[in-house]
Formats: sequence, C-alpha cells, structure tokens
Amino acid sequence: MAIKFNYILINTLFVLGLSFTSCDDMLRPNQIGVQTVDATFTDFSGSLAAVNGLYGVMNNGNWFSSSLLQIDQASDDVTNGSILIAAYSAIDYFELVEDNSISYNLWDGFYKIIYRANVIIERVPQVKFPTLSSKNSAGLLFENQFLGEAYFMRAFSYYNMVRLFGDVPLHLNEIIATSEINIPRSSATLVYTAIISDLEKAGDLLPPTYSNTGKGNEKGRVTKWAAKSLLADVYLTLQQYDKAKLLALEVIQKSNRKLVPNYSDLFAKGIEGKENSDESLSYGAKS
Amino acid sequence: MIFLQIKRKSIGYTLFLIVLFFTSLISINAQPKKTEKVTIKVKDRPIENVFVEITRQTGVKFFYSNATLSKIKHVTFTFSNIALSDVLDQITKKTNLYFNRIDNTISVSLEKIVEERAIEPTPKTRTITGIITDESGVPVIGASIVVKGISNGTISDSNGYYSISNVAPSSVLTFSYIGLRSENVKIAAQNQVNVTLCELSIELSEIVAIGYGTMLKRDLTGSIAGINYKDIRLMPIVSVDQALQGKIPGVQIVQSNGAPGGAVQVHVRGINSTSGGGVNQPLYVVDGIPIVFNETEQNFGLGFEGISGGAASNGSSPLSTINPNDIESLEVLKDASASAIYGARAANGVILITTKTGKIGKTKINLDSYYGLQNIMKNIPLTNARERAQLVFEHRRNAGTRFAEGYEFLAANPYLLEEGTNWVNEVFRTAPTKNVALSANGGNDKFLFAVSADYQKQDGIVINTYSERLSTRVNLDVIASPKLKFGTRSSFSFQKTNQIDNDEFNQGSLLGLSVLSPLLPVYDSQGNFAGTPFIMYNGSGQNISVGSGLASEGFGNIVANILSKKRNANRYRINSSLFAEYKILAWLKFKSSFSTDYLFSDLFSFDPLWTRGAQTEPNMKVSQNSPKSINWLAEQLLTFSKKMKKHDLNAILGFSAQQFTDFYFGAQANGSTSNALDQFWNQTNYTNISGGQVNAALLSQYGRVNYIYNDKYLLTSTLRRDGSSRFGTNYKYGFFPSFSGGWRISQENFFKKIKFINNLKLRVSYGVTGSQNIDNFLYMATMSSANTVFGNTIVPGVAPSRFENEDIHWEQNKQFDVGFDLGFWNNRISITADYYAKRTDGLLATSPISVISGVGGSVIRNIGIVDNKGFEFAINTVIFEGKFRWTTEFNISTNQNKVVNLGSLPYINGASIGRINAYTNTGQWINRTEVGHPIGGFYVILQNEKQITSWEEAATMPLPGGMGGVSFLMPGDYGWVDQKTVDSDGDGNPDKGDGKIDDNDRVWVGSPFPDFFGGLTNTFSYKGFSLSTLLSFQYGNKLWNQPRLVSEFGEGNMWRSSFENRYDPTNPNVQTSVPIIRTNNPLPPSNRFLEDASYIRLRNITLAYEIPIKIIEKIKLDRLKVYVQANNLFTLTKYTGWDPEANSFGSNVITNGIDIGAYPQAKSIVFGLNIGF
Repeated sequence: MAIKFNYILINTLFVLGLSFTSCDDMLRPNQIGVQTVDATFTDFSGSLAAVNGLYGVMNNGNWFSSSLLQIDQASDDVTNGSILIAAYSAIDYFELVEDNSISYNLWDGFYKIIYRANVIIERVPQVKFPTLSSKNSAGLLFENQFLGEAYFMRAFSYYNMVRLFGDVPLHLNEIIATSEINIPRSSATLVYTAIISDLEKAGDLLPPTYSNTGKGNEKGRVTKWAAKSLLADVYLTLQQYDKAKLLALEVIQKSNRKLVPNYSDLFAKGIEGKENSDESLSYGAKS
Repeated sequence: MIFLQIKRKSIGYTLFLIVLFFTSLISINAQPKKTEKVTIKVKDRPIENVFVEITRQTGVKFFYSNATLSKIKHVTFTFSNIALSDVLDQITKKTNLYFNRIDNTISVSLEKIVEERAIEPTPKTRTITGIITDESGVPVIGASIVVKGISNGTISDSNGYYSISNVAPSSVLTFSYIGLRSENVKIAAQNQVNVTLCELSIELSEIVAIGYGTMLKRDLTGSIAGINYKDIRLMPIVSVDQALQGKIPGVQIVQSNGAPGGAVQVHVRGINSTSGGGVNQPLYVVDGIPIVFNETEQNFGLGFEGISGGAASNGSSPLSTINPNDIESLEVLKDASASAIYGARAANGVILITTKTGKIGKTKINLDSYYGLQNIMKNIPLTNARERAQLVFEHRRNAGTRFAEGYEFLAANPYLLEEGTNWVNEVFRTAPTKNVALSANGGNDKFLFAVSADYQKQDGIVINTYSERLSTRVNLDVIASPKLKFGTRSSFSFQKTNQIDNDEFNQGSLLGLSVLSPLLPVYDSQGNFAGTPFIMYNGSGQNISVGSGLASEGFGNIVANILSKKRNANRYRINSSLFAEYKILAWLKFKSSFSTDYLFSDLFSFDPLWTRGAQTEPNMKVSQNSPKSINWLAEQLLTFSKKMKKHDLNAILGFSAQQFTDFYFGAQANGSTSNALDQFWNQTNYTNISGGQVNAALLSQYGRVNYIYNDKYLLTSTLRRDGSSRFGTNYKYGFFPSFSGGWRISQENFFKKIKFINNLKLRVSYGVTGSQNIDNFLYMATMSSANTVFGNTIVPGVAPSRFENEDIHWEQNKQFDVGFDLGFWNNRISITADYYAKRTDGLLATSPISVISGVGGSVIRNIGIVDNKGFEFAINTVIFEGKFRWTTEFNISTNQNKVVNLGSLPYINGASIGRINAYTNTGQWINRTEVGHPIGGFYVILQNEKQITSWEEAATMPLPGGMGGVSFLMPGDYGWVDQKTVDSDGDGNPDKGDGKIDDNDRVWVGSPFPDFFGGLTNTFSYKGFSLSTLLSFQYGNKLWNQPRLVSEFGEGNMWRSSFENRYDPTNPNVQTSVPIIRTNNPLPPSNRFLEDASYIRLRNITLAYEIPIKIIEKIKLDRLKVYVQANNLFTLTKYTGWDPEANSFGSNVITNGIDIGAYPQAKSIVFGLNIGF
C-alpha cells in the first residue's frame, strides 16, 4: 500500500513539475495595462486613437502655445519681458545654440507628429475595418481619411521645419530601432517635394467636411480644403504663383467657406468657435 | 573517536541526511542481516577506506580511535562477495586489528576483545552515567562515549543521557561528537560524569548551505560566509540583518533609517547598478524560496508622501519579517562561483536562510524573551530661549533690517526669558523594546517538527514611532519510508509600523529639530498644540511678546506633527513550501517542491486638520496604498552523489518555474470635517485613485558539478539558464556559467611536514551573474496616452512612445575571485582572504537620443559599466582554550567602486537637496555619477579656507548667483574657490577663473563609500559566563550633514555648538567656522557640510550566564540562561550629526551619503532570558 502511494505521489509530482516547467508561454505574460503598437493597429478604434494622437502634440503647452509663438522673438514685434528668459533672448539676438529650449521643443514636437504620421501611414492600410464602421460621415472610407490626416500632419510639420531650419532630416518611414534615428539632413528641395506629395494625397483622401456625429467625424479634423489651402501656401512660399493661384481659387470657389469680414472678430469673446468656424479650414462648421 | 562515514562524506548531503543518519544510529536495528556479503578491492589504501566501503555496502558502522588506526599501514585486499565475518577475520590476520560487533556497530581495537569479554567482569568495574551537552546547554544526541584503549562504547540518547558499564577504575572516558571537540575524562570515584562538549575552533566538518544543497565547508571553492544560529542566539536582535553587521567581510549593512522596522540596505561587495529601488539588494532565499523584495511597491512606485528614498526606505527588508529565533543558519554567497546557480538574480550576491527543523528526541520547548530600553546615542544641545533672542537680534542687526519687535529688548534683558522649549527632549524619548519567542522542537524517526511563535514590539526613540511583529512558523518533516520523505516549511508574519516623515518639507522630519525656535511652546496655555503667533509669558506670568516679529518664529510644531500624523505600514507575509524527496538509488535523489510567497501590505497615511494659534490646516487627508505580491515557485531537482575511490562526484540538475504577480490599489481622499472621521467612507472627495497589475515570470534550468580528487583537488562548475518575461526576444534566455577550483595544499604529502599549518586551501573562481530587476515590458513598442481636443471635447488618443527593443536584458556581472583559507595549530588561528574584481556591464540607463526619433529625447538601454574591486580578510583566533576561553573574530574589507562607462550619458546628477540655494549658476545636487568616479561621488564647490574680514575683500569675491541668489558677500561670510576654467593666454591650459561661482567650479571631494570597513568580535567564556563584544568600523567615507546646514542657517534654532562658534562682526579678525548670521545666508553646494563619517562603534557588548545544569535540574528545566546586552554604547567619530551611518536617500544609490535628518539608531540596554524545558 505504502509503496503504491509513494509511486503515485512521485509520478504526480513529476508530471506536475514537468507541466509547470515546460510552458514557455510564461515568458510572454499578458501585457496588462500596456498597449503595444502592434495591438493598436488591429481595429478601427485603435487606429482612430492613433490618428487622434497626431493632434495630441498640439495640446502640449510647451510646444504649440509657447515654443511656436516664441519664434516671434526673432522679429521686432515681440521682445523678452521683464523676467528675462535666456532661451528667448537667444532667439531675439539670433544666438541659437543647439540645446535652446525653444528650438528643442519645436524639433521634439514636430518630429513627434512626423513619427506618429509615419506609423499610421505604414500600418493603417493593413487594418481591416469592419464594413459597418468603414465609412465616415462624408460617405468616404475611414481608411482614406486616416491616411489623409496623417499625410496632412506630416506635411504641416515638415513645412514648418523647413521654413524655420532649411535642410532637415527627412523621415518618411516608421523608425523601428534606435539605430535608424540619426540620418543626414535632406536638402530643402527634397523636403518640399515630400511636402507637396503628401498634401496632394491628403487633398485627394480627406473628406470635405465632418458632420460632428460619431467618432472620427468630429469637427476640428483637417479637411480636403485644409490640405489644398496649405498646399497653396507651400506653392506661394516656393514662388510657384500659378499653382498657388489655381489651388486657392479652387478653395474659394468650392469649399463653401468665407473670410470673416472683421479680423478682430476672430478673437472676440463669444465669437470664437462660432463665427470663426466660417473661416477656419479645420474647424469648418458649415457643411 | 570519529565517525568515519560523516568524515568522508563531502558534498551534496543535506542536513536531512545527517538527521537520518543519527536516527539510524539511535534506533539501532537489533537484527543484523543474515547474509552480509561484501565486495571490496583496494590497493595500498588506508584501512579507513575498507571500513567506509563495508559501511556503504552493509550499513554496519565502525567505531575506532584515530590512534588505533594510525599504526596500521596501507592495505591491499580483494574480496569478492565474501561474508562480512570472513572479511573481518582476514583483516585481523593482516593488520592485527580486532573487531567486536554489537548489533550494527563494530568497534575496532588493537586487542582481542572476544577474549576480554570472555573474562568475567571483575567487581571493580562500574557503570558510569551522565549527560552530554553543548556549550549552550543543549543535550548532544548521538555523541559517542568510549573507554580509552578498549573498545567499550556507547552513544548518548535523545536527552544527551548515556550509561556505560564495565568501566574499570582509572579508565579514561572519551566523549566525542562531530563538529565538537572531544573530551577525555579520567574516572576517579564518581559514578556520574556530565560533560560539556565545545565547538571545534573552526568547524572543518561544518556544513554550509549552498544553493540547492549543502556542502562541507572545507570543500568549498567559492566565497561563502555566514553566521549560524549560535551567533544569532547570542544577541537579542530585532531583525536578522543586524546580526550580519560587522560580522561578514565584504558585506556592508547600511541602516538608512534607524526607525523601528526601518529599511536596511545590504551591499555585498559594493554597488553594481546606478538604478534605485531593490536593484542593488541581494537575492534572499528562505528555505529554498527566493522571496520578493517588495517588488510591488517598487513596480508601482509606492511609498508614503514625505518619505523619500523609495520603497526600500519604508522598512521593507525581507529580513525584518523573519523571526531571528527561527534561523538555523544564514549564508552569504559572495563570489560568482557560489551565486551563479541563482543566475539572473545573483548579481548582488545571495543570502540563503535556513530555518530550524525538528530534531529527533524529546520535545524541547524554548522560551526566549527580552526587555530593553533604548535612548538616543548622542545629544546635540540646542540654543535656549535666551540665546535664541540674542540670535534673532544679531540676525536682524547683521542684515541691517533691525525692527522694533522686541528681540533687541529681549536680548538686552535675557532674564525675562526662561529656557524655552527643548525640542530635542520633546521629540526623543526613552523607549522600551520587548520580545517573547516560544518554540517547540522534536520528533522521532518518522516525524519531525519545529514550530514557533514570536511577538516583538519595539518603540522608537522618536515619539509615536514603533514596530510590532507577530510571526509563526511550522516546519514539518515526514519520513514516510527509507526512500521517501516529505514536509513543509511555512511561516506567517505580520508587521505593523508607524514612521515619521523624513522629507524636510513635510515638517515631521527630524530636520525640524534644527529649525524650531525654543521660543515656541509645545502646548499653549489651554493645553492645545501651540502654533504661531503665540503669547509669551515670563516666569511671573507677564506677557512679554513684543511686536509682530514673533509671529515668524518657528515652522510647524514638530511634536504636533509627529503625534497627529499617521504613517502606518501593515505587512503580511505568508511563505510556505511543500516538498517531497525520493531516493531513487543510493546515489540519486529527486526532490520536488512547490512554494508560495505572499506579501500583502497596507500603507496608510493620515494628515489631520488642525488649528494651532493663528495657523490652521482646514483639510484633512487620508491615503492608502495596498500592494500585493504573490509569487509561486515549482521546482524539480535531481541530486547525484557518488564516491569512487579517490573520486568524489556530486552533481545537481534542476528545473524551476516562478511566477510573480503584483497588484495594487491606492487612493487619496479628503473632505471630512473631523479628525475622528478618518476613514475613506467619511470623505467627500476622492482623488488619485489608481491601481493595476503586473505579471512577470522566470523559467530556469540549472546544474552544478562538484568533483573532488583525492581530497586535494576541488572543482566546481555551475550553469544556469534563466528565461525572464522582462527580457527582449533576442535575450529571452540568459546563460550564467561559473567555474572554480580549489587546491587543498595541506593534504599534499610534501606539506604534511609543516605541522603547525593544518589547513591551506587555495581557491579561484570566475563566473557570470545577472540582475533581472528591471522594469517589465521594456522590450515592447508601446503606446502612451495622447489625448486631444476637438471643439470643447477631450477625445482620447494614443501615440507610439517607445521603440521595440528586443535587446533589453539583465545587467550582467562578471566576477573573478581568488582567495585562500589557512589554519594554524589545529585551527587555533584561521584566516580567510579574498581578492575580487567585478565588472557589471549592460547597466540599464536612460540614454539620450535625438528628438527626431519622434519619441522624445531619451530611451532606456543596456549601457554603462561599473567596476567593483576589493580585498577581504578575516582572521579568527582562539587565544585561550580550556576553562577560560577567549576567541576573536576580526574582518576587514575594502571596496573600490568606479563607473567605467555611461554610454552616451555624460553624467547623472543626484537628487536635489533642499535649502541649498537655487542659483541660476548651480544645481542643488551634491552627488554626481560620472565615468572615473564612484557612483554618487561628491562633486561640489570648495569653500575658501579663510573667512572674509572686510568689505573690500568681500567685493572681490566671485558670486554663485544671478537671479534670486546672493547679491553680495560681507565680512564674516566665506567665499568660494573659482576654479581655473578660462584659458586667457591661449596655451591650451586654463589659468584663470571665470569670475563667477557655478557648476564649472565643482571638484571631486570624496565618496559616500568607505575605503575600508569591518568588525572585531571578542568572546570570553569561563564556566557558565560569557562576555562578547562587537566593534564595527568604517573609514574614509563622507556624509552630507544637512541638520548642521539648517542649524547654521539660523532660521529658527541653532545647535549650541554652532551658536557659540558664530562670527562676531564686532571682532572681525577672529575666524570662526560658522559665518556671519544674516538674511540670504549664501549656501551653494559646497564642501562646507561634507563631513568625515569614519567611525568605530561598540555595536554591542553582551554578558551572559548559563545557570549550571545541576541547579536547574531541580526546577525541572533543561536550560536557563540570563543575559544583559548593551548596544551602540559608544561611537568614535568626527561626524557632528546624530549618526555617521545615516543615509537618508536609502536605496537611491546615486544620492548616497546624505543625511537630511535621518532617524538615528538608538543605544539600548537589554535584559534577556532563555529557558529550555
């Protein structure tokens, strides 16, 4: 009896032991509370959240409302206040060092948008959206809208960077490993080529308006007209006036948007967000 | 007489086997096997080898004395399946040795016993009885007693009792036991002989725990040092880590928080990593279960608000939850050869703890109890109210801001003031500490048990601080059959502590003692806690508060803060394992175990609302964090052990899987209008609610081979393969090999001539270990939150924030060790020395990357290299032996810590230290970690040697400030050294200062780590008395004295020594160490407050008396011992703060060597009692 018991016990322990020690899955435990990049781009809501993340940089106080504005320190319109901030003075006196916090924040912010856009551009086409949620309020494919938003935001970032700094590193693909980060600067001409290409695609892919009904259709997203206007701006900068004129005309004639008669009304209390929307290309309220 | 079998066994035998062995000895089977046949082939070997072989084949044991065998030359025999009796006859023929068999034991002698036995016993012979005990009065079971010269022998029973008959007059009885020194007693008229057997001076037969097995100490090839239960029991200790202090070379114990239950950092051979938390702590393995070091609190960054230094400062050393009375032995695996069997967790050494198991024999019940009183080690006198008035008056005068606010009046009329409040006396107290531990231990050859319960309460020397621990343990062993054994090791402990803040800005910290004005009373006239402003009365009850200036006296009322805040930590630990062991073959054993370790904690803090004087705090606040760690371990282990002639081979092969799950839930709440309503449900507003779970796992395979040739050449090799869920795919499994060799030179024939050296062993080892204490999921490309706003609505967004890094892996530690063990005159003097060199590479550090990455400017990577090198030396001597016995143990160690590489990081600065003025030119940090210097080396500005004596001189001094800093210096200030950083003549060498004091003027001035440290233990014993002292010391480290900084800042109070040493502007040519007291006292991060923290400390002195057994037998006790012990009686140090061992930032190693008013250790006197019955 005792022997039999021992035998059973030992065998049980062996089997238990082996079953415990042989499961390699243990080393890939559930990633609780963590979302991987791969897992994000598997469905509609993940892709949408990633596209929303493109705009997220703009909420960053250091970046959008401070650093971008501080560029004006270089002009004669703005000057350092009573509390002298060295980083601002450096811009004012054109003594920009590499770790100036303003230029650092600009690089950081724009390249964050660029990286996020690159990830979206590479990964969204592989996501299979369910038919029910595949179209936006304009009746167009969400997949195209997402790509259009990414192309627009990437172009927008490079357009600001190239105007501020001239030649800049041109990342157009998702960075996978840290070894891929550092690349030489590309010539401004190449950067502009990329910007124009992106904005042309955005102009084709983006919907003209948003209904503000449901996720992904919020007003405030960039539209087809935003892309075309920005492209017109790019051509103006490049002194290609004919192309600029053509695009601007298209926006004026087809976009159903108009300028606010009184410029200061854009900022008046109570008007902002209502009347402003007539002019705003991204906040376009009239549909 | 010795027992051959044990002497010859070497490696891989567990304590269990020893127990079994004695079991078989005591319960001698009266029925010898009928046909005992043996097969033996030896050629020119000692006769012992034949006996060993017979014992192995038949189970029959031999008794003999060394003297008997010393006369026998080497023998050559060939027996093939011959009956044992015939074999013995043949041996007798060849060697003239005679054998006498009683049951399963055969005694060996030079005379023919059969004939002697034939003679009728003469009436002169008697029967002698007695009890054999060890030094601590515990009965020695299974000791052998023989009459010298003849082979008449017996064995003591489970009570240590023996009876031996046929003892002729004037015979000499020899009493012996493994590991104890044999005693010879000449028989005169007495019929009773009680003997105390002392331990061998160095236990060559001592068995030490190594990972997954045990080994004879003499066969070790790695560096392992330990303490055993006797050391632990000698000292009434609250926590096990205290027992290690000053005892083990290469192991430094840093008590970063002297509060009861306070955190202890254990550094084995220096610090390997720049990371904080438990990363630099050794792995603790209790009865084979690697236990978690509060990982949940680390993973989630939990801790109390106001307590800096991370989770490890919260008093969470795994050792603090263990009842010291339960510990049988504790070993520290230091070098890679010893620790590599624990692979990816062994980089900082391994601490193996083995708890007591049941011993065969009568059930023994032990009661250990102590009671003690603790007090502050050092009193730092502060200024009294009269001096304070003088101080404030001067402060205003010197600053040129004299107000008509009464100080001038008070300074001129000091008799109006009394002493005022002595805050030191209000905050420190004499605190009791007590402990009761009860244990029962016993069993028979089928069932063994050791159970215990322990209650310990230690009040802190600071009011309202305490630690309380309740623990129980059940260790059971069931010997189901000669082949199968199973059992459990289970313990439960509950620890409850209350601490104080140590963050100076939370105002409960002891730093407040150097700030609080003596003019501020603790209580107002109504008996409530006083605040400011307050009405001040003189001795005659007259109101002498003059003007409004008094309203600014003092900061918070520290007594009120400490008494009314709560910083409770409740920790519950359940540690349990179930194992079964099966002997498949005589040389092959299989062990399977399943263990769990649960650690549940509740960290509760409460900040009351209050009104003190005109000050009010309208909001009360409660917060609670409840981390839980659960980890289970399944382990399968095969142990081989085979001895063939000169070859002795032992090996293990194991597999294990361990899973760690950490949970936590935490929240803060406020809104209650009464301090009585301090529960969560009483609150109206809930904030910071958070929680989560993290999983991690470790899959491991490991093996070890020990090979010993001819007892001279020792080889050990280990290999562990650890797979961790924390590692990237490219490094999912890590291999951790080690190799070591030993040469017992003293066993060589050529060496045997050197009689005075009885042991000389050379050891060398090399191996690789790792530290897997890294964050989970670092290898994955993950998204983080990036919400945005459309219109007026927040819309959730995410953004890729980290690149995939499948190269993330453990921090790797390569260690080389060479050492020797040397024993003189039968180990009267024994020496162990080691040199080691460790290199840790792949340090995880935040490394800067270009922001064009799109994920920000930094990424965590395996970069960085840190070196640790050092010598360890230990010498143990027996100066006197005999009735008066004096032994010493001395050890000293050096460790040199150096950062070799930080990847692309130029340096890492330590944490900011408060009250160092924040200038635009300098940071507020003191420590910097940079290549070529130790981790957290001190990098500060140098203060000028001489004080400024004139305004003209002051005007020439470079200043450390721009905005908000010091706008001018004045006589009585010190200036700072403007280092030559400007190259004015263009020769490439800086030759001139830049005219301002800034971070460029910092220089390296020392290290937070000592050049050397160690301890000296002296033990004297005479009859039942024993006296033991332990001195510990360290030399060469520096410590930042923030309490002195605050004192000399003159904010609210001053140390009297600072006050008396202050600069007197009316006597400008007298140099003083304390500069002029004025507004905006310039305090850049200079060497002014860095002090030498070398010390020698009398850590404890213990006097014990063991009541003689004759007396206590009458009151039916086995054992009664009383002792008195004094701890931390005196300290020689130049450090002017409370405690040179302070280390406020605890496990944050890049900010080591900072005292921001750390809770000092106490001195104490303790009375104790051990009773056995």
